[in-house]
This record gives sequence, structure tokens and C-alpha cells, in this order.
Amino acid sequence: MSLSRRLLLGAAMAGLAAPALAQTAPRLRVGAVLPLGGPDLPLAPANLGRPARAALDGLTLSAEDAAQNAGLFGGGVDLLVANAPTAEAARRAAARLIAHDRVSVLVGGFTAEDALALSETAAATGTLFLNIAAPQDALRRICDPLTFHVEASAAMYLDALAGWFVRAGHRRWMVVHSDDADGQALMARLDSRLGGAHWGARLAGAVAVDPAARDLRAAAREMARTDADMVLLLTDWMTQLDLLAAAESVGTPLPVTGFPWAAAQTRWFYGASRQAAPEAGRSYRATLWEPTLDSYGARELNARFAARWGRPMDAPAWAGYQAVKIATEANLRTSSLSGRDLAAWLSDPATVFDLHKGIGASFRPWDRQLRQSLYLVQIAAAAEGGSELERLEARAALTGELPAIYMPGTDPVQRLDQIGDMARDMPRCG
Amino acid sequence: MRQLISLAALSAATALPASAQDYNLFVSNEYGASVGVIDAEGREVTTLPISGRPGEVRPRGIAISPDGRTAYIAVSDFNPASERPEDSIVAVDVATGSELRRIRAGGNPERLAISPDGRVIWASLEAIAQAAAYDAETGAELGRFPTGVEPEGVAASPDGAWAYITGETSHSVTIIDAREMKLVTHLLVGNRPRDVIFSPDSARAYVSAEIGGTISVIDTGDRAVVQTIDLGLDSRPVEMVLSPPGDRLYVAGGGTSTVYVIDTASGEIIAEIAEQMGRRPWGITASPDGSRTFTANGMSDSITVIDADCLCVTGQIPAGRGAHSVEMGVVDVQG
Repeated sequence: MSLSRRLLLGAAMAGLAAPALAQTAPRLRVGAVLPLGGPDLPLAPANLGRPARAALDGLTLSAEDAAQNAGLFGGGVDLLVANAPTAEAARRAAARLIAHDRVSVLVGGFTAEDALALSETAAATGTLFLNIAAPQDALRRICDPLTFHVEASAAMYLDALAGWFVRAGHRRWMVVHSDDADGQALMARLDSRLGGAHWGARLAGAVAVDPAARDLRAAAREMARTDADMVLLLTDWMTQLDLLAAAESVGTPLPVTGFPWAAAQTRWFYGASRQAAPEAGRSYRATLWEPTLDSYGARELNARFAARWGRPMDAPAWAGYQAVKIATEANLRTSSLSGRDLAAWLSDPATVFDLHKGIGASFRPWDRQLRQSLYLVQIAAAAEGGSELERLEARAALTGELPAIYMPGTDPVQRLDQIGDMARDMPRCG
Repeated sequence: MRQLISLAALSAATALPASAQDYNLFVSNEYGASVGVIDAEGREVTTLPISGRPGEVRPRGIAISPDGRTAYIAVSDFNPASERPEDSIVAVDVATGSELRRIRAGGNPERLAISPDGRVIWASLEAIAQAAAYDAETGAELGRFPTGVEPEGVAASPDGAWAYITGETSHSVTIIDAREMKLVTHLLVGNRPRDVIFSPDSARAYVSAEIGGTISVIDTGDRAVVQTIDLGLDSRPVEMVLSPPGDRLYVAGGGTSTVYVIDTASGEIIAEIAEQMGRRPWGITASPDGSRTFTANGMSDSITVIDADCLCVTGQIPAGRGAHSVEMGVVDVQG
């Protein structure tokens, strides 16, 4: 681990006089542990440097917003960033940030192992941990009252995909999953959900692939032979691209989508998908956030991000932004630096967050998962070219939202809980 | 010329009362880059072009001078982070519909308020987290103040003492001493505060929180939130208007296509008007006699007319593309 970069953002607002305010909130220190790069960063399945850098952009913008708010209410945020390309590096970085830099909040989690390391470190030290990029359902079963998940759970993504594709008439699913822990867990969850006829779809076939294998033609031939309506790839992002290319080569006529890992929710991935498979790569994808989202303050947030960084606000950037926003609001409302105090406020059923998604959101009490709507985008035909902002944005188009937030007469909490695991699916924590 | 569309037996039931017929409605058409002027009978008087680039230039907030003779329109663009020449406040003569002047207001001006003496225009500058005060005649900048992130709602108190500005992302209200042009403090309110208005006696301010689903009631003397009216998490309150005596608060629920009516004395909701409401009511205003309330409906490009007696919808008036705000201006009483 190296504490490679440190950002200390002040509350200066040049040229504008601040009023004499009672400093009600103490200054919060947030430690971000991100796999930004280095020789230990694995190529696959993680290779998380790109989404981690996007997350850092979001974290930084949010810390700058917090500096603006500090001019109003006191407090403010020091954002400290550590590069940690492995789970063990993440554990060491987190311990150092807590012991030496006195952070009250840890942000990170790009693999299940990363997130677990940060969660355990947080639990041992009374620190709040906000997971921004690890969707694994197993992490939601950790009985740790200090771990909260801004990233959507795998169950939420799978339910959202089921909702969309079944509605579009795709009821017979073929699944290609990686033969590793992540792939098996996703497959098991999907199988149980579809087997229970919850969404009205069924499995028409399943193929396991070695995540280390790069020759995926056998799986592609299975995809070409199936009588399914669609294909779902429950593999890492890199294998998804290889499978798309292989599917294209054998002429798979079916729509193909993949599990939306953080690395697969970026404009870069959409361009790579289109390049790998000009037809099959123009699929519909689920995402946590969409930089062309326009309503309920999303336009303003997306525009401020794009103006700050010259890039669209990809989903990992949004998750980083919201993590700092949530932490600073907890600090502001509690006037506390205690991880337990902050966590108690996050857990309060009366606490509501504005995620720029147009609906009041909250953490589910049974697994501390942030309730929220997800989006469906379609990768554009012209997704491969150009790095200018407009061309990057044009790589995908927003096509849907689930759950739909505009359903008058329904309870918003129940509406958001249409996707993901419920309390009855979770272990009882003593 | 477009006419008021009847919903039932329209005629006299829908037309504005005689006391209100000296007023025109001004409607900003956010996606049409224009301002519609509609008379008291629901007839289109004229449409004022704000820009020849609809979809790029967006008129939003409107404020009417206290004498009713000048309408001020906040004009910006659709990229909140960009600085465009169009960022300005456009002054329009209510009687003639002609443009009087443009005041430069960089930073994406969104909403406006006018001081009770008509001399000062207050603007929220959405892109740069600031509020600004301008001389209404000369356009000279009189003051500039930090606000919460994404400032939106602006109000000037009837007694001339205060200007309040909401900050959407910071959940804040910024309080400015309008006489001294001095920042006083900031308050935390509900999530995503959109609009703020004062009671007629300036003793209270009401702040709508779109995501929080609440109305925060601020005691302006104590500068403290003294009451929070819960409309429901999913009520999406945006613009508000008070009846002339201040006993009823009408709240546009943009995301729910509903208008909530609150008894200000008790804080109770006395009506939820949803039947035949236009889609996405955002702006809202009341006739001077309080007999009618009007909403600007962004999704249905219309103005909905609400009767204060039945608290029901009595008419729809076509508006331009993306109706955002609606205000009333005097036309016939000018000397």
C-alpha cells in the first residue's frame, strides 16, 4: 500500500465573504481506498483502475461541494486517498488511514475481497464503511452495523434485468457464467429467482466458462444453438467482451447483456463492447447512473462533473460522489465524528437521501443497502469513436428506469424494494 | 388565437372574475425559448421570443414588479456549467409585451424575486452557488453572496428586510439582510429545497423540499425552522403560492401532478387536487383576489386553472413547450 495521493480540500470561497457562523459540525476526514494502479493490480477479472479513477473524480467533486457547504454550516471534509491494488493492500491502507490520519469514514470496495477487508477493518475500529463498487450479495449478509452499501446489490441488478427483459418479451434465458465464486453466486441467485417464477422467466440453458480462458468459441457456439430469447453473461467485464466478440463471430442473433460490474458501467466499456461486437455489442445494459440523465437535479450534477473533469459522470463516479455526500450529511446532522454515530443516523428510518434520482432514498435496515432505482441504457451504434465529451456521452442512450419512480399512489419505499433481497432473505443478526 | 379549453360547462364558470381581468398571465416556456402572454379569458395575447434557439436557451423563473408593469424573466441555457451570453435577466413591458432591457447575470440564473419597492432584483445563480442582487433600472450588481450548491428558490420579504435563497444540493436556505446587503446566516431545511416564499406580514417563510416531501416553516424573526409540514415522501413539492391573506398555501407537486392546499394556521393539508391536473405542475400563482390559482405544467404544455371555492380544476389553457413558471402582470391600469 502506498498513500500515493492526498487531497485536502478547504472551505475557501474566493471573493465571497462568509458569515460568522457557529461551527456546529467538526471537520470530517474520509479515507478512500481505491485500486488505482500498480504492478499488483490484476488484469482480470478486476482491472479496476479505470472505474477507481472515475470514483476518485466523483469523490473529489463531492468533497469540493462539501467545502462549499462548510462555508455555510462549518464542518467540511478532508479527503485522503490511498492506492490499494489488492485486498491485503486495502486492509493495510485502511488501518493506516484510521490509525494515523484519524479518518471517520472509509470509502471503497471494488472486489468482494476489498470490501470485506475494509468492512472488517471498519468493524474493528468503530469506523463507518461505505461500499461504492462491490455488488456481491454475500457482502450484504455481513452483520456489521458500520458497513453500508451505496453500490447496488447483485440481487438488485439481476431483478432489474429480469424486469426489463421479461417486459420486452424475453422469457427464456441462456446464461453464461464464470466458474468462480462470483459467477457461481450470481448464477445461484438468478436460478433461485427465476425458478421461483418471480419474474416470469426461466432458464433455457447455462454454460460455465473458466474465467482465465480466452478462447470462448465453445461457449459462443452454445449461444448460437440455444432456443433462448436472450443471453445473459455473468462473467467479469473482460470475459464479457471476449464472449461478445465470439458471439459476433458465430452470428448469435439474440440480444446479449452482461452483469454490470463497475468496470462495465463506463463509457469506455460501452465503446469497447461496440468495438468487440458491432452488432451483439449494441446491447441493453443495466447501470447505477447515467450521465445523460436529465431530471431532478441530475442534469446539474452531470454538467458540473463534466465541466470539472471533461468526462461524463460514469456510475463509479456517481457512487463516489454520493458516498462523500452521504457521509458529510451524516456529519452535519449529527455533529459527530464517531463512526457509530454516523452509522446510527444512516440507519434511522427517518433519514432520507437525495441521490439526484428524483426520489427520497434510504438504507434498508436489514442489510444497509441503499434503496434506489437503476437505469437501462442501450449502447449506441456509433459507440466506438472519439474521446470528446459529446461523443463519449453518445456511446449509450438512456432507455429505462426500474423501479419507475413515478407511480402515484404507491409508497416510495415499497416501490424501491421491488428489486433486491428482502429481510426474509437475510440472516438474523444477533 | 388560442382559447381557454373547457373541461365541463366552461363559460362563466371558468373565466376569471372581473376584478382579475386587468391582469395577464406570463408563462415561461422552458423548451420553447419564449414567454407566453395570456389574458384573463385564457386567450393568447402574444408570445415573446426570448431566443431563436429553443432547446438551447431556457427561460425559467419569472418575477413581476410590485406595480405589475414589468415582468423579469431569468434566462440561461441547458448546460448549467457553461457560461453563455444568454445568461441574463430580461425585462419586459407588461402592457406592450416589448423587451425593455437585458441585465447580464452570468452563472445560470434560475429564479428571481423583486424587492417590494421594485428597485432590486434578486437572482439565484445555479451554476456557481451564488445569489446576486441587481439594480432593476441600471442592471448594476449590488451584491453577491455564497449559497448552497445549486441555488434555486428566491424570495424578497414584503417588508423589504430579507432575501432568502434555497440551495438544492446543500438542503439549505441562505438569509440575506436586504437593506444592508449583508449575508446573515444559512439554515438547514428538507432535502432538495426548491422554492421559498414569505407570508404577507413577513413573519414566516415557507420552503418546499422536493425529495424530502416537506414544507419547512421558518420564523423570520428567530431565523429558525419552527414547523415542518409533511406532505409525504413522494409528494415532490416545488413552487408555492399563498392566498392573498396568507391563510392557504398552494403547493405544486411537480412529480405527482398534484396541487396540495395547506391551511397555514394549522399546517394541515385541506385538499389534494389531482383530478384533471396538467402534467408536471411546476410554477404556480394566484389571481390578486385569490379566486383562482394557476399552474404551469411542463409535461402537458398547459396552464391549469384551479377554483379556490371548490378546490378543483376548472380549466386548461394551452401554453408553449415546457411551461415552467407562471406569474400575473397588470395590463389595463397603467396611467
